[in-house]
Amino acid sequence: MNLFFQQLVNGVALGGVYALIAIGFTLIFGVLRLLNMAHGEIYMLGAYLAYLFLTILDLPPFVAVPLALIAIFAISLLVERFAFRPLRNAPHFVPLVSTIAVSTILLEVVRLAFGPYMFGFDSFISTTFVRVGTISIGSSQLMMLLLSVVLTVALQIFLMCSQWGKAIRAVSEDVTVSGLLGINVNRVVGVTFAIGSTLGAVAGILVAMHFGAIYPNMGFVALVKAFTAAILGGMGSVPGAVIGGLMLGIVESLGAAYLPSGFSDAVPYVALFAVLLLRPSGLFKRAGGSDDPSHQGNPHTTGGLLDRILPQRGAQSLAAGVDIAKLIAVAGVVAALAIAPFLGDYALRILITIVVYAMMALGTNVILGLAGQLSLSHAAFFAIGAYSSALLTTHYGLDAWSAMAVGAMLAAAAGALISLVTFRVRGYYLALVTLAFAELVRIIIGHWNSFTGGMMGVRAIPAPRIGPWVIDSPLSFFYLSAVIGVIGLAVYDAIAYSVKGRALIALRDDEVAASASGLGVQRLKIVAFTLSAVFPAIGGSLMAHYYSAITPDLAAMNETVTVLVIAVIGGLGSAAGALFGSVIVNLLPELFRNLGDYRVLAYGVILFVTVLYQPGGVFSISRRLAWRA
Amino acid sequence: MLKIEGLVTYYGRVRALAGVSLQVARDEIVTLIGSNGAGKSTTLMTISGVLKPTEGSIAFEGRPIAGLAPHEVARLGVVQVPEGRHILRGLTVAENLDLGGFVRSAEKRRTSLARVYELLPRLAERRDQLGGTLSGGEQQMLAIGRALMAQPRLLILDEPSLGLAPRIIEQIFELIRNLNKAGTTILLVEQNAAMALEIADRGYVLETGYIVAEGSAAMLRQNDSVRRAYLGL
Ligand SMILES: Nc1ncnc2c1ncn2[C@@H]1O[C@H](COP(=O)(O)OP(=O)(O)O)[C@@H](O)[C@H]1O
Ligand SMILES: [Mg+2]
Repeated sequence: MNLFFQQLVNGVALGGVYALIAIGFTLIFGVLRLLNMAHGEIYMLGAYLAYLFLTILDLPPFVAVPLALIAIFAISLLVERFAFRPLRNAPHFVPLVSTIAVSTILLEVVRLAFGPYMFGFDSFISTTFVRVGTISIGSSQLMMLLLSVVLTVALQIFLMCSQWGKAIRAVSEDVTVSGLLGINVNRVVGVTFAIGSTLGAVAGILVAMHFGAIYPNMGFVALVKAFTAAILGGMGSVPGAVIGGLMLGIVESLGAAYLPSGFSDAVPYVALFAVLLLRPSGLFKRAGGSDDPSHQGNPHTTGGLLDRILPQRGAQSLAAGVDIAKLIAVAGVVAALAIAPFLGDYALRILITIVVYAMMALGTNVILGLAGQLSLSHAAFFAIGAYSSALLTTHYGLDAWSAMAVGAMLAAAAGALISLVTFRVRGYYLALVTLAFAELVRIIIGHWNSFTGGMMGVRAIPAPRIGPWVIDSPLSFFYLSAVIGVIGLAVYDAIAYSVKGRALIALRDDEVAASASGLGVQRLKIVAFTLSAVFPAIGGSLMAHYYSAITPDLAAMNETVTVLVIAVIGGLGSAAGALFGSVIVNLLPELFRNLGDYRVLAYGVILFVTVLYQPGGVFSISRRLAWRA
Repeated sequence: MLKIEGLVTYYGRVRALAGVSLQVARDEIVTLIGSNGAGKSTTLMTISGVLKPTEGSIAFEGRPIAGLAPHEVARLGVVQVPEGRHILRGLTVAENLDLGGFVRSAEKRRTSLARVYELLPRLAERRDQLGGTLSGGEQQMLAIGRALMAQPRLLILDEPSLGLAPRIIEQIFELIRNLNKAGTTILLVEQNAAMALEIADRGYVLETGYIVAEGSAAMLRQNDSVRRAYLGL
C-alpha cells in the first residue's frame, strides 16, 4: 500500500511536468492546427541548453536557466517563421513533414554537438527529501509540482484576461475572422508557438533534473506523452491537457511499480492507443465545439497547392506526366543490370540498399501518395518483414520464400489492424499514432529477449535459395532484389492505374465526397493500409537475408524519416519517383563520403528544403510540363 | 473612398474574379448583388486582404491596399462582417466585442462599447454568455457590433440576412440604414437583392467573376435582366 501511495505522489509530480509539455503542444495545435512533431526535440533542446549553460559554461542557475529558455523562445520564433509559416496554406501533410524535418534537424544537431550518449545532469537545487509518514517527496519533485502549477495558472490567467490571451483564443478558433478583427495573426501564431515551446523546454529541464540525465532521444517519448495527455483532455484545451498529463503521470508511475521492467516503457504508447480507441475526442467534449479535431485537416487549404503536390486527378494527366520519369527509370534499371557484373561488392551493396528503400517508399506511395493517409508505420512493417524472415528461417527452418510470404502476410495483417484501429483518425492524429505504433513495435522487439533476441537482434540468417542455387554472392543477391524490386514497381504501377487505385485517389482528394459517392471508405482504407504494409515487409525481408543479421533499430524513427524523404523527394505517388528518391538518398552520402555522421542531418535538411521549395518532388517540374503539353 | 480596378483573384487554378471594378464614395451605401458563387465573398475577402489578387488595384482613400495583411486593412478602418458571422463561439459576448476593438486603444474601446450596447441592447443583456449560445439573429447583431467596435470608416457586410427570420432581417437593415445616417460608409453584399436595392444608393451586379451591370439602385430596380434574375419579377 505504501508503494502505491509513494508511486501516486511520484505520478502526480511527473504528471505535472507532462501537463506542461502537453499544454505547450495543445497551444500550438490551437493556433496552427498542427501537431508539432518537433515539440519533443524542443523539450530535449531545452534540457541540453540548460546543461550547456550550467555545466559546460558553468553559469549560475538563475542566469543559465533563463538564458536557456530565452534561447528556446528565440529558436522557436525562427522555426515558426521559416519552417511553418510559409506552409500554412498547404495541404495538411506538408507542414507535418516540415515538422518532422525540423525535428530531425534539431535532433541531429544535438547528437552531433553533444554526442549520442547520455549525460549526467546535475540538479542545481539541493537534493533533499521531505517525509510525510512513510512517503518521501524529493526536492526536485516539489519543484516540478510547484512550477507546473504556477506556470499553468499564470498561463490560464494570461489567456483569459489579457488582450493578447484573447487574441490567441480568437486565432485558435478562427484565423480568418481574427485577421478581419485587426489581429496580426502571424505575430500571434509566432508568439504562441514560442510560448508553447518554452513551456516544453521548462518541462525538459525539470525532467532532466529529476532523472539526473539527458540524451538526444529523450524527446520522442515526451512527444508521445504530450500527445496522449492532450487528446485525453481534448485537443486544444489547456485545462484538459493538465488533467490528461496528471492521469498519464499517475498511470505511468503505477505501471513502473507493478509491471515487469522494460514493458513499462510501453505504457505511454499503450495509453495512447487506448485513449484513441475509447475517447478520441477526449474525456470531456468541449462546450460549443462541434468540431472534432481529429477530423480536421488544415482549414485554410486551397486547391492550388494540392494540385501541385500530388499526382494529377484523372488517369490521362497522371500517365502523361509519369511517362518521362518511367522511361528514365526503365533505362536506369537496365543499365544497372548490365553493369552489375563489373561492380565491386560495395557498389552492389548500395544498389541493393536502393532497391530495399524503394520498396519501402512504395508503401508510402500507396498510403500517402494514393490514399492521402499520413501513416508513418513503414519502419514497423519493415521490421516485421525482416524479423519474420530472420526468425522463421533460423528458428523454425522455413525456407526464405515462405518466410518472406509469411512476413508479408503478418505485415498486411498489422496494416489492416492499424487501419481498423485508426479508422476514425486522420491527418496529424494518424501520423502520430502510426509513428507510435512503430515505436511500440521497436520496444516489443527490443525487450522480448527470449523470442526476438532483444537488443542483440538475430544473427546467421541464411541466404535464400532458388532450387540448387544459393543466393549468397552480392551480385546474385543484387539480381534477386532487382527482380523483386521491378515486380514491386510494376505491381505498384498496376495498382495506381487500376479502378482501386483511382478510388484511393478519390479518397485522398475528398474523403467526404468519396464516401458520398458510395465508395466504401473503410474498405478502401483497409486495402490501402494492407498494401502499404506489404511493400516494406518484403524490403525488410530482403534486408534481413542480405545482411544476415538484424537489430530492433530497423523499426527506429529515422528509418521512417528516411523513407518519407525518399517518397517526397521522388514525388509522392509515382513508382519511378520511389526509385529516384531512393537513388538520390542512397547515393548522396556516397558522393559526399565525408558526410559521415552528418548523413541524417543532411536528410533532414533535404526534406525541409524539398517541402518548402519543391513539394512535388524532383520530377514535379517535368510532370507539370508534360501535363501542359 | 474605395476604388477597385480590374481585380482578378484565383483559388489555386480556379479564377473566381475576372476583372472586377467598383467604387464606393463616402457616406454611400453600395450593394453588390449576384447569385451564389458569383464571387461576392471573394471580392470582399480580397478587399480585406485575406485573399491576394493576382491583378488589379484596390485603393482606400487614395492609398493602395492590395497586398496588405487583413489586420493592416482593418487598422485603416475597412472592417468586414464576414458571411456566416463567424462569432468566436468559445468567447463571451463581451470578449467578442472587446476583440472587435483590438486595433483601438483601451479608452476608445470603452466608448465604443457603450455605444454598441446602446445600439444593440440585447448584447448588453447577454454580455457574459458564450458567443456560441446566441441565436442566429443575436449572432448577426454581435458580428455587426463587433465590427463597430473598430470604429470603421467603411463597413463591409457579407450577406447579413443569411438564414434569418424576416422580422430580424428588417431590424438588421434598419440598423444598417441608421449606421449609414450616422456617418459610416457601407458596402453591402446581399442575395436578397430586393431589400438591398431598397436601402442602397448604388449597386453592382456580379456574375461568375464579372460585373455585368451597375448603376443607381433605382435604375437597377428597373433593369429588366436584374428584375428577372434577382428580383424574381
Ligand atoms: N476556398 C475556396 N477554394 C476554391 N474555390 C472557392 C473557394 N471559395 C469560393 N470558391 C469558388 O469561387 C467562386 C466564387 O465564390 P464566392 O466568392 O464565395 O461566391 P459568392 O460569395 O458570390 O456566393 C465560386 O465558384 C466558388 O466555388
Ligand atoms: Mg458569399
